[in-house]
Parts: sequence; structure tokens; C-alpha cells
Amino acid sequence: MTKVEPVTTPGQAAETVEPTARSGRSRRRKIASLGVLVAALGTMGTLYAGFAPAASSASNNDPAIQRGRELFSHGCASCHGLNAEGGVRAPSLIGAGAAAVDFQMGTGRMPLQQHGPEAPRKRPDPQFSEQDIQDIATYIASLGAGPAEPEDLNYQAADVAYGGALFRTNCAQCHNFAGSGGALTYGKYAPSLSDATPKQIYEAMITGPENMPVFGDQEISPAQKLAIIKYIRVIKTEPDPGGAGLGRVGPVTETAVAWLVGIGGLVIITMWIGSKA
Amino acid sequence: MSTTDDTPPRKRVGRRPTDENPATVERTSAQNVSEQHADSPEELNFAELQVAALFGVGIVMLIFFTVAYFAISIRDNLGQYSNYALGGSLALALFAIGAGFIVWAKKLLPHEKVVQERHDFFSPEAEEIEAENTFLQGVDDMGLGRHKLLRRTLLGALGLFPIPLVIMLRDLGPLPHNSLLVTGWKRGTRLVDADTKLPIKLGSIEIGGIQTVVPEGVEDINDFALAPTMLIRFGPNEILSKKERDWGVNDHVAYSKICTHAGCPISLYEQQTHHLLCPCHQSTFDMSRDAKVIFGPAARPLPQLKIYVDSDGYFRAAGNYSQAVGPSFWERRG
Amino acid sequence: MSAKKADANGDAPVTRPENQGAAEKATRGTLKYVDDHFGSAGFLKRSMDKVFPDHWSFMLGEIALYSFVILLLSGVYLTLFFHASQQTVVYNGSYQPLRGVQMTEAYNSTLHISFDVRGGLLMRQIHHWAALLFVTSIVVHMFRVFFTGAFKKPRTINWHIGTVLMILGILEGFCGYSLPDDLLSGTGLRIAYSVAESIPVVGTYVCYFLFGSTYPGQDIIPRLFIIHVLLIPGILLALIAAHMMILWHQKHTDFPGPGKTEQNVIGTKFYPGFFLKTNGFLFMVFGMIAGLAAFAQINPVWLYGPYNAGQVSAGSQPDWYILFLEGSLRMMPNWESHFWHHTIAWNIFIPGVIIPGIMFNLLALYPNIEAWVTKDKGYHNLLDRPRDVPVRTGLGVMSLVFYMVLVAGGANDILANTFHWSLQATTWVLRVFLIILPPISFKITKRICLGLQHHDEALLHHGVETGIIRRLPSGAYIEVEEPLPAKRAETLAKQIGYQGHDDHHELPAGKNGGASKNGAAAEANGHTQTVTRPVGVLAKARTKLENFWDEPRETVPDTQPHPED
Repeated sequence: MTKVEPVTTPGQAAETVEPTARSGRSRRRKIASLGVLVAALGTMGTLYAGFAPAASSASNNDPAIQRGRELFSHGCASCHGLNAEGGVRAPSLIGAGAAAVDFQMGTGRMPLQQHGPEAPRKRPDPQFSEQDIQDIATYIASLGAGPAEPEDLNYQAADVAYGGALFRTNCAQCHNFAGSGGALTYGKYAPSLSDATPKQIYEAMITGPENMPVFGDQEISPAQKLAIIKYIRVIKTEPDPGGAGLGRVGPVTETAVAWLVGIGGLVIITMWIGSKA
Repeated sequence: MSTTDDTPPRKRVGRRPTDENPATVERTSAQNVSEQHADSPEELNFAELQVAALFGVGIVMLIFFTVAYFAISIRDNLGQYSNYALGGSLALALFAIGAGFIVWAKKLLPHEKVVQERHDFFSPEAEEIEAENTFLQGVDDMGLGRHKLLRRTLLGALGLFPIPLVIMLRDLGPLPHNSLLVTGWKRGTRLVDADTKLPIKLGSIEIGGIQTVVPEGVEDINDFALAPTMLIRFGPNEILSKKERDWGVNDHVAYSKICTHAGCPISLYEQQTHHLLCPCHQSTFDMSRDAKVIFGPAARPLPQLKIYVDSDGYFRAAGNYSQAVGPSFWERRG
Repeated sequence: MSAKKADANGDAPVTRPENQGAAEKATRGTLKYVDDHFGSAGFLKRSMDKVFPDHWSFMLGEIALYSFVILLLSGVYLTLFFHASQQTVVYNGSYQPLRGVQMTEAYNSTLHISFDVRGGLLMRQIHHWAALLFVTSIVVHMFRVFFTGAFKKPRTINWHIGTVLMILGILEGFCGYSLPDDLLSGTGLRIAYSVAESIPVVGTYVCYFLFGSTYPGQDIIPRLFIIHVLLIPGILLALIAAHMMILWHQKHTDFPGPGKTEQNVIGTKFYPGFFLKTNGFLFMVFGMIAGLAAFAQINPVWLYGPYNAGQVSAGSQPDWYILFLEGSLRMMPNWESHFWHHTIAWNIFIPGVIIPGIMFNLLALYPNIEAWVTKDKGYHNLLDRPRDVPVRTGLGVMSLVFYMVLVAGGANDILANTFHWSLQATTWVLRVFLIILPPISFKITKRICLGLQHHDEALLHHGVETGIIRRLPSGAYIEVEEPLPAKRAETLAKQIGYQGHDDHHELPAGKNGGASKNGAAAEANGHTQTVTRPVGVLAKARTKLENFWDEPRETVPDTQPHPED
């Protein structure tokens, strides 16, 4: 388990250094880059310090691991193999890391109900408690080094606008501009982010569940990840100032409203006007 | 009004004006056919009340709009309250006023059904012929048929007239030349992150990761709209094409992010199937097989950018793309 | 002066009343003042007396007209705040999630209108909803005109003008949609650039002259702006004026019915009845658009983000009237030709240029094609019922189905994601639909029309089936049929009696029913005198098409007297 520190984000750094720096594009970029670099290096250190020993020193006598192995053999081993080595229907979980377990079970994707193009998000299986999931995660983490669960995601201090830019470059192409989700190939899809907790978003980025690409900490630093999470939370909670958001999927639903409500309503009015008094 | 005898009979179709049906019927005023239904005074009074109530709603709503404009802050809730209040009151006011007009027309106006004759759509034949004759006479007077030289020079002059208008448009833009090949990539250009503009070191991308990169030194990406490139890291032995492996480094490959179909930036990458989907027109590329098109309207694979890693461990381009990036155009060499 | 005002009929001279109130005096004074300068009294009188038929479907075009008025008003307001520039600035306004982000002046000023101008967002949304309703109502209006045959002579030229208005409306909408320079509209522009680029030989030149450089350049937003606020609106305004003046001059068409003939119009006088109603409708269209703008968010550009050549969003769609183009681009197979160092991108050129070109041309020329096939050169003021012209109705439904499959194709990813279908399967199904559904829908529509015709004739000649079964003395059973109420029967007789194209056929019995035809159309058709054998390929094709068109109408043997007789 690691602790992701609330890092001073580049945007803020720029603001405290010189409030007018925002107008200078290149200067801001330079400061931003520096900030990211510092933040990335700092957090990387913390991260490595956090999980590297945890993975190696995992002893089989840890009661959590014992319990996790027990639960795993009942609930997961039929597909993933008795030693999580994987099977015909499911991948190996050695090296998958605790974050992957927490994400997959916490979002209800695992245990899988039926095979399809993609495991859908659903209510977490009630037969596994929070603690059960943690124990299984500990067990899986003990099998091989993998991404650990983040803790205390203090994203509130992050720069939302910077997160928005990162979101549009790295996330919007699949999850849509407002995180409403979108279609992928052959029945797969990028899910809506509206139900995802900050922790789950973070875990998804570091583990790359199913077909989602992995966004490692050297590619998108923990500070940047927090900024992305902040952006997702802000646009999720912000109101739609123009009225009903219409699903935030763009012009397709606007089309339906224009035809059904707009023209439909006006045609009814013409009928009223044309009718005999 | 009817065809006179001295004009040659001409084949024509359409309704002719006759004596019973003079061409000037429109001038006769409309006549009522159905008598007015006199509503009872109570009904009329009630109708007036209805209309007045609707106009009254309009008045109240317009006053509300004015108050709301000044009273409700546009800063609260992103201006949502302001939009609701202003839009809602405006809509209600307009609806009420409009409905008032219509109820007024329907209930307070005499119920009448008016019959009006239509007029003919064409002129009496004599008039048509006169117009034709006048026109042709003018052509004759001008001597367009006789003066050959005049006619030809006129056609020449008028024909050339648009030329200045058209060539003036020349400076709307430069000629394309080879500029569609310019991407910002040169031999030795470092690959930098599209947002942070930081160079990328070998190993910083996880297996199954993808990063959008641009050439180092490009400040505004919109200046080099063909530059965006994807750096993808595969797992060991996942790349199935030798050429793709050779142009990459240690399972890292770089491909143009600009779709070869209609130029959308394309990066819906599925790390297990290695499919890459375009969100605009759903062209699907298999990134493990040289970005081969496996579905959709794109005709060509995405161009690959040959990359290498310098002594400091940073990714660099081995040169520009070997072919034009983005959608096809006439001058593009197949 | 009173002599001038004398009635043309030569009756007693008309004089002004002696005792005039102040208001009356002022009104008469104004009207007289205007007339003294323009001689407008006669025109005014005729205009106020002009009769408009009452059917609701004749008001669909008004929606377009009034939406256009709103577009002009709200558009002028927006230009007061909008900066059509692609200069890069850093956003400093009150929308937090974009503060500090680099963007163009166009996008920046759009955000300013949305978040820092009171009522600015409302105005933007009014403008956008009005634009959607403008194009939508034009299309709905065209459905009405098409399916009732209102485009026939003498209104063919007005149909052409209307088609141009629709195409310009679509172009105008696309330009306006592109102006905010957000990520979504920039993606649309990028595709438009690619479509222009795909034109063989001149494509790249067209692009460079339009955009001033490679995509996106610095010029396209200012250029689109002037096209959007001056060029196209100017042409639209002129053409709308022409459209209305022709309508005014030719008078409105009407559905056949009791008392209605080819030579008259029955309805409400323009002033005051129609005037009040149409003004009321103007306000209600305003109200509908304001209501949508208040309660339904449209084009939230702040969520899309500024345009960036390296970014894109899932589900990138244009406004609905471009969706069919998007659909044709999406469904097209990936054809491309390479030869002599040149490339032709059929995969863009066909769906992006050729298909819309064919669609718009066919739409514009349809009245001429129909008149050529049916040899119908008569004048028409009474409308067809769709069922009475099965081939046209079938063709219309067929085209509509084709169009709708294209639109669905443009939203295939949203459909796939919403219903959890496979995106690829959805596209394939739509590709198949695009080929097979139109002919099937033609067949079905034509069949339904013929069935309805049959039903009408049965209704007219045999009456309504009451469901009462009676046993005859002979032992046979019959169902008692009740004749239609007189008024309904008369209307129906008129409707059946009036058909646009059966000039060659005997009309069903009934002098009244045939009167409208004999009075105008039949008499108008000179072609009976000029029967010639078809010569040449074109003429033979025409004859074939005419036979296809004029499949004999199914009639019910009639022994009963016509209600009118």
C-alpha cells in the first residue's frame, strides 16, 4: 500500500510564482514541465518505497494472505487457476497487483457473470466483503510485484484545467468529452465514468483493465492523475447551466429533442391553430 | 382577351382564359360564403377574459425577466439559475402572447369562410406574343444578328470579364507544393509528450500503454496538425510484423495519430486486441500487424514513424514519415 | 380625390365618413399619406383580402420563416460579443475547468458569451435551437409539399428555390457550428477539409484557398464568419423574399373538398383573421425556441474543450442535418485508386461529394422529372392525397428510408453504445439496410396506397360496414351497409375524383367530382392532340416510366348512384 501525496500541481506552482505567468504560454509550459518533473520524481520515490518491499517480503504466513488465498480458491480459482496462474478463460494474475483486484472486484466486474466482449460494471458481489477483497488483493500482490492500491487520493488541490487538457488528450477519445462512455470495436465499449470513484479511476489508469491502455506513473505522473480525477469529478458534479444535459453525448440527443419536442410541439400547435374554433 | 385570328395558332397547354373565366378575377373582392356565427355575449366576454389573461401572463413574465436579469447572478451554479429564470420567463411570455393572439383570432373574430377566385398564372396569349415580339425587335434593333464582329467581340469581352474576379482569389492561400508532407518530424527530433512537452525515455511507458507525442520544439500543436503521433508499447512478441518491429525499439512503435481516412486524431487503442478505432468513422486498424485496416472506410494503414533511442535513453525520430500523413489527396503518390 | 377611390364597378362613389375619431383620423391619414406616395391602396386592399386556406400543414413553412427571424435577431446579438479570430489566448474567464488553458480567441469569446454575459448562454442556445428548427422545419415543410404534389406546375420554380434554401440552410448551419472552434466542431472541420481534399485534381487547391494553408491554419474561422453572417444570410434573405412573393402571387394550394375547385381558394382572409393567427404563431415559435434554450442544453462547448489537432472525443457527431453525410462516410467501403503517382480517395469522394450531389439534384429536379414522365403540363391548385399517387408516395418513402439509414449510420457508435450492440455489426446491418430497405419500403408503400384507394372507393360506393348481419328471405346472409354521411361522402368523392395524373383515365362517376378536373386539368392537357409514337432511347424510357407510373387504379364496380347525383 502506498500513499499518494497531495502534490503541488504545476498550475498552482505557476500561480504562486507569478499570477500573470498564465498569459505567457511558453513560460507557463516550462514551469509546468518542471513542476511535473519534480512531482513525478518525488512521487515515484514514494511509490517505490511503498510497494517494492511489500512485494518481496510477502510471507506466506501473513494471515491476510492465507485468508485471501482461501477466498481466491473458492471464488476465483475456477477460472484463474488454483495458483492464479491463469486458464483458458482467464488471464494469469501473477503480477496483476492489488490495485487490479480492488478495481475488478470493487466495480463488480469480477467475479464475471458471463463471458462477453467486456465485463460490465455491476453491483459488487455481496458474497465478498470489503475486507475479503482486500485480503484477495493482498494475496495476489504477494504472488508478484504489480501496481499497488493508492491511498488517500487528495485530488482536491489539483489543477482542474490542467487535468482537463490531459483528459482530452488521453481519455476523451474513448470515454467521451464528458466521461459519458463510448463504443469500441466488436461489442466492447469504454464505460461511463459517472459511477467510478476516484480510487477506481486511479486504479484503472495504473492497471489498464481489459482493453484499456496502461498509463504508468512515468507516462502520466501521480500528480497528473490526480488532476485528471479532479477534472472528472468537477465536470461530473458541475451543473449543466443550459438546462438538461441530454446525456452529454453531443448532437445526437439534441437531434431527438429538436424533432420530438421542437417540431413535434410546433406541429401540435399548428393543429390547434388550424382546428375549428 | 382570347386568341385573335391573325396570329398563327400555336400549340400550347394550360387553361385558357375564357369569357366565363376572365383573367382578372383576382380583382373581384373576396366574398363570404358561410354566415357569421354570432356567439352569445357571455361567450364573447369569457373569450375576452381568456385573451386578456394570456396577455397578462405575458406582462408578468416580461417584468419577471427584467427583474431576474438584474437580480439573479450569472456566477451562481455556472449561471444555471439565470438561464432558467431568463429563458423560462421569456418562453412563457412569448407562449402566452402567441396563444393570446390565436385565442383572439379563434374566439373573438367573426367565423367566416371566404371564397376567392384564383387568377390565371399566365398572361393572355396576345400579351405574351407582344412581349416576345418586343424582345425580339430589340434584339433586331441592336443588330446582334447582323453585326458579326460586334457579337464576337462582345462575347469575348464578357467571357473574359470573370477572369479578374477569379484570379483575385488566387491569394486566398498558397499553392500546396509539398507542404502536405510537412509534419514537424526530422531525423533526430525527440518525441515529447503532447501536453507536458517532456521527452520520453525508454521504459517510461508500461506494457499496453499508449502516449500521444509531438515533435520537440512544436509549441502550438495546431501549427503542425499532421504531427501528432502515438507511441505504443507492446508486450514481448506481440508485434507480428517484422517491418513494424524493425522501425520500433524494444516493442515500442510510433504511428501517426492522424487517420488515413478523414484525418481525425485516432487513438482508441485496445491493449489486448491491439485494435485501434477511429471515433469519427470507425475505421479499425490492427496495430500488431503494421496498422492494417481491418474494418471501416480507411483504405491505407497508418504510416509508421521510424524511431530510435539516443544514448541518454530518449526516443528520437529516425526521419520524417516516409509517406504523406493523413487523408488521401490527388497528388499523393500511391 | 374621391373620384380616384371610386369603385371599378361604377357604383356610387365611396366617400370617407364625416365624423372621424382621433385614432381613425390618424390611421386614415397615414394610409393616405403612404398611398399618395406609392399608390399602394389597391395593393393593400387586395392583400388584406387575400384568402389563406386553414389546413394546419400549411403552417409548417412558417416555422422556418419565424426561426429565420429569430436567427437574425439572436445572431446579431451574438456578433456583438463574438471575436472571429484564431489568435491564441489564455482563458481567464469564470469557467474554472478551463482557466489557464490555451485557446483561440473565437473559443474564448464563446466562453465569455456563455459564462460572463448575462443571458448570453440563453442567446447562444436560442440561436442554436433556432438553427436546428430552421432546417428541421424546412425538411418537414418539404415532406408536406412533396407528398401532396404541391410542387407541380405552376409552383415548380418555387420548389427549386425551396431546395436551394434548404441546402443553404444546411451550409449556413455548418458554418455557424464551426465558428466556436471547439474540439467537436474542429473535428467536423477537419473532416470537411478531408472531403474537399478528396476531390480529384483540384482538391488540395480548393483546401488551400479555403483554409489559407494546411489544416487548420489561421484563416478559416474569420472566413467562415463572414460567410456565416453576411454571404449566406444575404442570399437566404433574398431567396426567402422571392419564395414568399411567388407564394403570395400564386396563392396557396388546397386539399380537395366540398366547394373547392381548381379556380378558387377557401379560407380565412389575411386581415385580420390570418394576420392574428400567424402573429400568434410567430410568438409561439419564439416561445418554443426560448423554452428549449431555457431547459435543454445544446452545444456545451465548454465541455468539448478548445480545438487541438491531437485530441478527439468519442462520439464525435455533427448537427443532425449533416448526420446523413457522416453516415455515408461511415458506411462506405474502403475504396481508393492509385495510378501514375496519383490517388483518388473514393472512400471519401463518393460518400462526401457524389452521394449528396446526386441526392440534392434529384430532390431539386423531381418535379421536372415527374412532369416529364407523366406528360402532365396542366396547372394544379388542388393537392393530391398521398394515397392517390402511389408511385410518388412510394418514391418519397423510399428516399426517406434511404436518408434515415444514412442518418442512423451517422450515429452508429451512439446506437451501438446505447444498446450494447457491436459497433462493427451495427455498421454492417446498416450497410445491408441501405441497399435492401428502400426498394422494400417502395413496394410496401405503394401496396398500402392502393389498398387505401380501394378502401375509399368501397366506402364511397358501398358505405360503412355496420357489423349487422341480416338474413335474407332466401336464406342468404348479408351485412348491412350504411351510406356515408352526406358531407363526408362529398369530401371523399372530391378527393377520389381529384387525381393529379389520371388524365387519361375515366374518372369515377360523379360530375361534381370530375368538374374540377374537366374544368382545369383535362382541358389544360394539350397532349391528347399530339400523340406520337416514342422515338429514341429517351422517349422509350419515358414511355416505360409512364406505364410504371400509371398502373391502372383499382376500381370497385359501381352500381349505386353517386351521392351528388
